Amino acid sequence: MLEIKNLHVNFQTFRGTIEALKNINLTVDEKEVVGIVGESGSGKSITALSILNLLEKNADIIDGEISYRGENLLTLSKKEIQTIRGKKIAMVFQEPMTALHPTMKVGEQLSEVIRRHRVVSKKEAKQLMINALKDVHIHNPEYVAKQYPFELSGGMRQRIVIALAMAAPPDLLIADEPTTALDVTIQHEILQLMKELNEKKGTSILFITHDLGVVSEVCDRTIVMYAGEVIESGVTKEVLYAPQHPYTKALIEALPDGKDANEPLKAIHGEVPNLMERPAGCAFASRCQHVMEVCKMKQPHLTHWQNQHDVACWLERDG
Amino acid sequence: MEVQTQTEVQQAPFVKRSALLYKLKKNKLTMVGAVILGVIILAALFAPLLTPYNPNVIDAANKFQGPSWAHWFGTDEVGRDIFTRILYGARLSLGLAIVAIVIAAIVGLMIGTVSGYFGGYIDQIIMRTMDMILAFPTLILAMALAAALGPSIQNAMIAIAFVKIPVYVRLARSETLSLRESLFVKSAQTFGIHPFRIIRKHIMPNSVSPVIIQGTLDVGDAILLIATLGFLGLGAQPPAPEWGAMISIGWKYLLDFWWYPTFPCLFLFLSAGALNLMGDGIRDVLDPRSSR
Amino acid sequence: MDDMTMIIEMDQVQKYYQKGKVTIKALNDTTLSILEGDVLGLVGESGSGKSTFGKLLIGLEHPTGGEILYEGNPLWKKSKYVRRKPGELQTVFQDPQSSLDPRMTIKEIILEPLYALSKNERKQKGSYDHLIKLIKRVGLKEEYLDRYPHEFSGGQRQRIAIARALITEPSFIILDEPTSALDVSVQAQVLNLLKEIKEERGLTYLFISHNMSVIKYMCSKVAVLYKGNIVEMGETEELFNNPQHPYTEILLSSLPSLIEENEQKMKGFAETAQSKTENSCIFYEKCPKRTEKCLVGPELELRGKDHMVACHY
Repeated sequence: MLEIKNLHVNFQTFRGTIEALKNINLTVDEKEVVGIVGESGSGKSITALSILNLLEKNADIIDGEISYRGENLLTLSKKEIQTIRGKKIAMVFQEPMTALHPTMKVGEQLSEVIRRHRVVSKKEAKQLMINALKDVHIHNPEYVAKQYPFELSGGMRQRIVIALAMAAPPDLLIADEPTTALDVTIQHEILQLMKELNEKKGTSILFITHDLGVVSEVCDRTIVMYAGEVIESGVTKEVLYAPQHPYTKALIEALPDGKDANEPLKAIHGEVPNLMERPAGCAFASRCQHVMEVCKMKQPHLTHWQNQHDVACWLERDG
Repeated sequence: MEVQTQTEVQQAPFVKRSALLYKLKKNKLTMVGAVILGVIILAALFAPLLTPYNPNVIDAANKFQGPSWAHWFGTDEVGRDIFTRILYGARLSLGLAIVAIVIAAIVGLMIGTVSGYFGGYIDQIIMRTMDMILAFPTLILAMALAAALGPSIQNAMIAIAFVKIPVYVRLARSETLSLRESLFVKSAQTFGIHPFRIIRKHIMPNSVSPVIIQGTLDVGDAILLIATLGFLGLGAQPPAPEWGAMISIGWKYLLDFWWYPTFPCLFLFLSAGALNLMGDGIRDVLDPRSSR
Repeated sequence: MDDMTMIIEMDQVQKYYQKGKVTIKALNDTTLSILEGDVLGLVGESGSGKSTFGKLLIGLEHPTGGEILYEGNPLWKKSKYVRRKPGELQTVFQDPQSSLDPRMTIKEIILEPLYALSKNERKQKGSYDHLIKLIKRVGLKEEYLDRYPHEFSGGQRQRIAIARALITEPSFIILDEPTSALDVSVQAQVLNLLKEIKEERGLTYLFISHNMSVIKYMCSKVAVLYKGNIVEMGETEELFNNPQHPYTEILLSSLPSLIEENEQKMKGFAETAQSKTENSCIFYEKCPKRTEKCLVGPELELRGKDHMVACHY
């Protein structure tokens, strides 16, 4: 349904050009939940923003194609993209307040969005609004509809934002760290909710997060990004339990989850490379334990390994 | 759905600063102001090279000469070259204005940070006192003070510094109030170091930039105040080549010898105007919403 | 147990805020102690009072009631914070972006806490050798000393903050979400560093976090806070393997983890909220196990070795 091919994005800054995204390839199929994981600076958010053409002015899309149902989104005019935004592809951000009108009751906001997407009377819109709130598991929708955003808790706000995003309902929901600002118990509820929306309404979800645990909980497929490149992708279980790229392996090893408290954590030494001076070879080479000569010279490309599992690494692997 | 873009591109401070300069350069009026001011400052600094005359030497034979190649702006009632006196006067006016503002800014910064940091009674007393000073029109208060201290150029400067202090107190205090909540000040508090050290080492260095900006905005104002006090006889005393004092004597001769008061006025107008243009530019760049 | 030194003893400590007519109980009658060499984990979600807890210990907030002893001496005399030995107690904050003064060099930042000490001590602890040793210990380089914070990444800044906390050679450090703002790969570096330093110097930590995995890895004891009350407290192993309070159970099961196959059913809050009353259990509102009995709140009671739970069930 959504396909990104060879996407390159550069950022112009006063100090020089940052190669923020390099050769991104990914697909999202119907009814699929795809996770993009990566640390800060990996380019996961930039990938999401470029889909709906929401990048800031200093970003240049150098090359590539983002096609949605066969239509290249990058060649569309502003008006045309506006008809896709919200209606076909919706987005949810980390901080729900940025997506809510601060001085408008949440019910009104929701009705307004519903009326924008569907031809319904005011009364019908109100009924749809109440149903939409019920869909996101708000138990007393009539009461909540009359609240202003600031009167609600963070978890409630994120539910409202999801309800807004689902109003059309869209084919694809892009969720950029939607639970990062929330408590774990609330996060769990929101994740369950998104999974349910995916199953019930068949909405595909592109889920952007830094949290491997979240990915394992909701995503069918996982894409791992590092320094603006996709380095591994595949079915979530395979990527997380049989990681092939040394970075993915190291990232999972570095988590304290379930580790013996008497052993030091296997930290990844060093830091992410400066994207203004991208190394010639593999971006992870300087931190990699299995680094070879070829890694420093030539950049590995994402290549197919086995059943849907792709890796960008020079290491020999079986299968 | 309205969405906002957020990208995580970190920029180091020096990048911001060069961006500021870039914006300033794009603002034409600001550049005009900067050029005028630059010329006046250079001329004042190199006054002895630009003119063969001494600003204070009386040459009765050449009194009330009109503008000519020898005397560009003419001469005054005792034959002194007006161009020379304006250049030396620029040293006085600009120099004193800057000194007055620097004093006001330093004192204001100290009082304001202490007031904001400690809060409570100290803050109340200081801020009410500042409100009292601000309640008077600046000029009237400066005149009263200068008169009370006795007419002299130093006293005029002190008076101007004094009436400008509240502006800086308020500015420094509001900065301090937000800095007090910042994590690095909180952590300094947890070390148990002395509050005055926190103010000196953490609060002051971080609240100094808005104070400097306000200072550049205020220098033009201070030049006018010095000239006004001089004009009223409360500032520089003759024969000092101060613009206000020159205008004060010269205006009586306006009908017969127009050049005498006109040129000092022109320079007063130019330098105050240039400083205001620059100040506006700086303010616009720092706060794009203000369109004052 | 008696032969171990108590670093912190808290007795019925309260922190109430007055917001209009409503009293907000940020911390309610908290009693606990931290022994020398302990790493006490403080877990809770936003609004649980865990940050308030730290602030009371470091003097940023004063308690409304109760007593806090540091090595047997009261930390607060009325609303005045007493430092018997300045520099004994240090903090590492969550956000290394804002906890370092942007106008100071790294050297100045690290030496700053010494200005609370006497001149002699400052000279001795702030000597160049001492400083270099310290900065190398936390994994930074000598040439970094003259640079400014904005030139460093989050992980490096947190190392600077750790060096700053160590310069006075404290015996007790409060770690307030020290890795929450960091990436996973950097988090592991910082956690390792904190652990090593604790062993080398025989430190005692109070580790405040919302991340159960980090707590489990780092801490010897855990206290679970809910709305200003400790609902469960015990040895880490015991508490994680055998959680007694329904809130702890929910907290543990809601953690998205890729290690345990997440097929096990998540324990959720009660479907409908019940408004709680003055005397009821603090968790009554959302508890899936509540009964009539819970309308009168439970006290913390001992269950098994060192395991305290505030629940009737």
